[in-house]
Amino acid sequence: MTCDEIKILMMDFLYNESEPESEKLVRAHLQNCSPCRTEYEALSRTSLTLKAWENEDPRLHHVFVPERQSWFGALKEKLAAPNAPVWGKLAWMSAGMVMGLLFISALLNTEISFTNGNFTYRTSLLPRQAATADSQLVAQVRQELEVKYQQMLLASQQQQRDELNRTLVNFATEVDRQRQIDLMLVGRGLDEFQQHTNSRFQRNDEMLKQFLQTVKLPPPR
Amino acid sequence: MQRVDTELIMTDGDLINKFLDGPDSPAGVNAFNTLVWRWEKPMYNFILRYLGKRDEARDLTQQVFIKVYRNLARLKDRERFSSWIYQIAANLCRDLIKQKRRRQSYSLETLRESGALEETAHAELTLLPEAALHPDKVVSRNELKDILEKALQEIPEEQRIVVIMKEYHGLKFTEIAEALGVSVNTIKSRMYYGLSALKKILAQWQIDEEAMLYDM
Ligand SMILES: [Zn+2]
Repeated sequence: MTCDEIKILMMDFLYNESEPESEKLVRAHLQNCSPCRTEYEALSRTSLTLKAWENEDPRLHHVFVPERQSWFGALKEKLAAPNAPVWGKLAWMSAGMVMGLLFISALLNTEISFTNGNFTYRTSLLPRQAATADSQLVAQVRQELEVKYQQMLLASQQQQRDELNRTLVNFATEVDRQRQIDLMLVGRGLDEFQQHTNSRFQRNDEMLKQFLQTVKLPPPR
Repeated sequence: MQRVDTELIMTDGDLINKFLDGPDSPAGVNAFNTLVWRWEKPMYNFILRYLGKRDEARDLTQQVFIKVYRNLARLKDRERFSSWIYQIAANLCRDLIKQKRRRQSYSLETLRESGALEETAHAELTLLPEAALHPDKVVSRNELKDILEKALQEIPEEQRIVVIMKEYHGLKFTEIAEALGVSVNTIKSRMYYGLSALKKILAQWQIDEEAMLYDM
């Protein structure tokens, strides 16, 4: 074992990482070679000196809190930021239009369906059974979004597809949720209206009964 | 209180699993912050010794944890977190050094054009630690720290990082090799040359055995 070869093994030895075999080799070499022994001693002293620089306390105490961003904010940031790609801005604008249409149709209880090439459009001031209207509209929105999504997919570059996909799925889910909330609110409003009317009818009924009672002719003597 | 106590004895791997189970849940956030709390000081000291600048060390420490937060899900072997976080810190430091070098070469060019280079080169030669100029004096622990800080900056970067990981963070040669993406033998040879260079520098600055008898 030459002096040069021993240098690397000396590092293992210095930091207690030697294999038993190489430890024997190093010990034997250091015993017989005085230049290497001197060097080893100097290096281990340097190592000891370095330890005089103790760890400092930066007192940083970082605390990480996950960012709470609204779905709306996140979407807007992604699609409508000044540096957003063109497809993003287009998606943002069409999303706004879809939302507007949804809101109006929610108010008018519109039913739009497009099945087997037949397009039906129905609107009334009375809400229909919420469940069917809801699922039909949701399916419709999904369909519309999917058409838009397909068009935009074609227009966008390959690398942007995944991102757009994720964004639109989130958006569609959120639209569903909003739609359900809208329907719930409309339903609740109608329930209250019905209760109110019912109680008024009841009250009128009672008043009429009372009136009829009071004008009832006294029983014949 | 119970929860905090159990978190303190959890391994890094356990904390990572808990964080990844629900990054936004209170338990996940807590687990991540325990990890930060545990690694903040080592990371700061590692970066400080590597770059030699306290403000940069504070900045980069924060950046390390932002990177950890974003990329933790991609760490396959949870028990190798230690090598992984040192790797992140080392990469951030190297990026900063590269950035500064680019800026520096630019400013050197402007200096050369204005003919002011000779003066600065001369000024740099006198930047020896105070204690080294008074070899007869026994240095205090604080002075020795300043000397070591300057000495570490004198040796080549690739040797410095190995010396720091070994001497101050007690990483095994295999762990250092993993963090830096070089072979174990290369790491050991860098350690040898780094330590030898430091030995020479300290001897040049008259930090010999007598001077090392710093007051505790
Ligand atoms: Zn020898």
